[in-house]
Amino acid sequence: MFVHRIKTLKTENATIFALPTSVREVVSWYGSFYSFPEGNYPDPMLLQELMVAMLDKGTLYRDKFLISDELESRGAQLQLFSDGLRIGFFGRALKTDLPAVLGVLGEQLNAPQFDPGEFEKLRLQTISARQRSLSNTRYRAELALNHALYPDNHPNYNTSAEQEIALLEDMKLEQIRAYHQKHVSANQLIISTAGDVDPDGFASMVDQVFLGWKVENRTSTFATLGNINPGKTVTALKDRQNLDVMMGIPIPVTTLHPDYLALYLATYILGGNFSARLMNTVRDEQGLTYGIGASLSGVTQEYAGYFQIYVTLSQENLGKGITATEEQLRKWVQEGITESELAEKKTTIAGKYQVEMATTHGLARAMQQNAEEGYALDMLDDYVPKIEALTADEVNRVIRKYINPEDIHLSIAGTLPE
Amino acid sequence: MLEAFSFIETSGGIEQWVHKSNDLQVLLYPDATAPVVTFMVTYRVGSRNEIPGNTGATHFLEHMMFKGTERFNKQAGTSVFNVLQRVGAMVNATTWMDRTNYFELLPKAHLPLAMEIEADRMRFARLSPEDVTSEKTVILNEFDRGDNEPTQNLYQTVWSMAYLAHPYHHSTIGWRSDIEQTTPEKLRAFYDTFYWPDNATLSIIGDIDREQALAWVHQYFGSLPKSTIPRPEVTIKEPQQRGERRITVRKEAELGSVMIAFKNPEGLHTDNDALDMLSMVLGSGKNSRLYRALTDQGLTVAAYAANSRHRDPGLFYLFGYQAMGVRHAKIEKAILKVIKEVQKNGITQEELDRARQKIKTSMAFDRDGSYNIASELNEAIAIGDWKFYTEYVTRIGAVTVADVQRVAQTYLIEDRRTIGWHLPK
Repeated sequence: MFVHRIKTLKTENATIFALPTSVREVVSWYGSFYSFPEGNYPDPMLLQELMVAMLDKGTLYRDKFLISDELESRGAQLQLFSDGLRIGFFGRALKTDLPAVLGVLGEQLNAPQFDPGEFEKLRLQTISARQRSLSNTRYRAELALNHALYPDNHPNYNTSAEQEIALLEDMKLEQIRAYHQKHVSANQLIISTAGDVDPDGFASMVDQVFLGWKVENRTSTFATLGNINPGKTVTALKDRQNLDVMMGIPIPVTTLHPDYLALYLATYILGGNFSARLMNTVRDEQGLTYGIGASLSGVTQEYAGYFQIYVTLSQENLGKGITATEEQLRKWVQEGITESELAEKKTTIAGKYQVEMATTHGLARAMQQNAEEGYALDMLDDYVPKIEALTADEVNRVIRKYINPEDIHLSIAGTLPE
Repeated sequence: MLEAFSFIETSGGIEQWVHKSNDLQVLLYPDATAPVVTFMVTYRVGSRNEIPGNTGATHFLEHMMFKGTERFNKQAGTSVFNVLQRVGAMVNATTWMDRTNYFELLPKAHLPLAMEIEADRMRFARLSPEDVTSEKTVILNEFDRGDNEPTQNLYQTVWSMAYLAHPYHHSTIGWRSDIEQTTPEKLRAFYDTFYWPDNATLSIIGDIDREQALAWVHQYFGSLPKSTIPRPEVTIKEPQQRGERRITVRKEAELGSVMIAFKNPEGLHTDNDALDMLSMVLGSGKNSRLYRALTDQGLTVAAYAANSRHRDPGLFYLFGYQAMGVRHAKIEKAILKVIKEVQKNGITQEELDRARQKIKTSMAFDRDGSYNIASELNEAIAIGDWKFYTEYVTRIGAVTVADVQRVAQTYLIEDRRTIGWHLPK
């Protein structure tokens, strides 16, 4: 129980969760705001990615080398990232360096230089990176599954590398500037920090970073659901003896849906860790794969995500591996989970939760994730009791309600056996 | 219970103890910041200790250790993963060239459980033929996954070309044919040679009571005997390289990469401290020389440098990921020019200070959580001295700009150089 130790502060436009701990000198923080990557752009998600990547390429006051020196000379970490509907940032620094590091964050967000030369370099590097991904089996299997499950106006939809390369060829710096102007605002601006931190002092520094930021009224126009799309997609690649296989189905459940935790626990029992069913059978007993697991992905408080299984298979075991995985999936749906599995995974999740909170980085991330998923602060203490209260009947009910093995889409990428 | 142990020394707040009866080393670092503990067992055996025909044995054995013992096994419902993950432990193991480690990051109340399991599998692994057969295909899939990646392929090929006689020639996972031909008997012989208390170090980092932790070590590990089988020393020295070596890897991909490697001295050699600084100056961050000369000029998508320190001489290497439309020769030339510039004019004091500060801060970040400390200790043990970790800041503090220029002139030379290109087919 640690929620009582977290101090919640409201500044003019941000909510801050601050947790002082006994660690010496180190402070970690996560933050994010809604950017709503929508609008009249060829691909708003790609534009957002490039806009965010431009933020550390220099500001109106300092070029990227001076900015980098400011951080590197202190050994501080600061990253900005595009995260679907949100733009996020992470930092870690010594306590004494906080003003300087948060100062850099403010400069990058508020006064980016958007230099044409830097944009051109970034554009070409991004094209190269996309080209490199074309021969990556995991990327190709995931992308094919993604396209089978989502329409192109869903936030979980990923544009293909080929399409992105074509869009990048025509992308202009003015689009980046316009995106920054329109989408960087204080919509649900949340920051979580933990470590050797003075909450009030931190809030004052944050106030300076986001001075003058306004909340914009927006409504989302994204599609809300994916497509149930049974079938199979094969992406043939040369010279790849290991094949990546993905299986998936959209789930109409958001993080705030009453079935979410039961579905999370159900998925964890199937493929959440080394002692889960898939690893236990397809890897440990049958020796068919090195890597296999199941997870819920792309779930936010606004948009439902999808259930997926991934498995990597050498050519000679491709057929057997897929059959064995599908067999476990069917068994999980038809026979459900057992009381002993339920009890085991409940204690696993409770212990894991404690372990994940053992660093300032883990604490800040947990607080931030909790807020971004739409939960009240109390959920940080209530999470484990809520998991512990789930019954086998509830877990089995949600499995049967949402997962029909016949509706699963199968995606394979690699060099197919002769 | 302290009488069962000899106290050796303290360094950087970490205490070293040795069990009197079996020479098991124990490193303790109490830190009550969070109610968790990292328990790590480091065996001083890695792919360095393998011979042709048995490559990959260390890694194969690491997998087999999760198949358990007579007490902890799947058939009994007490598999290592089941028992430990049930209490929320983060559990895993890794194999590298000079060491193998097994670790648990878990709530402090369960530390005795982790010790009980690690002690049991230190001497009582089952290594059944059925388990070896089923795990073999798992490892072959792991091999294929690595082989899929052109850069990993290039990295390994460069090591193989740089080291022709020394076991660093082969990768940790081993050659595919050796994995296929592994037998339970080979693994048993390897296990019985290297898995003993006197070839292991326990690192116990986190919310612990010193005396209680040692009492548990004695309870679980104290009855294990020390080895009676002589462990073969690795005596082979890599013959002197005479001239540059070149290798190409042709593998299907959209874009290639360039790796330029130089033999460095053995891990604990002080010249490696200067090479560490040099690797940071060359390859870490936007102010690094490789970023400025390659990535910022559009030659590479990313470029970095690393000084890979090992028990025996390893490699200092530079890596560039080709950008669209740029020839490999141009990337290679640009990297060599960066090196030449350091050899000729050295680095600035500002560059050195920045590199040092990054490491100092990184060490402070390590103290935020127990796993990082154990992990760093593990690598220090691997190269020959756990205090390498606690003394590292002092070591790099002694490095001067002149040292960095000297090591660049001494080690980054043609007669120590191996160049590899990944050429997309």
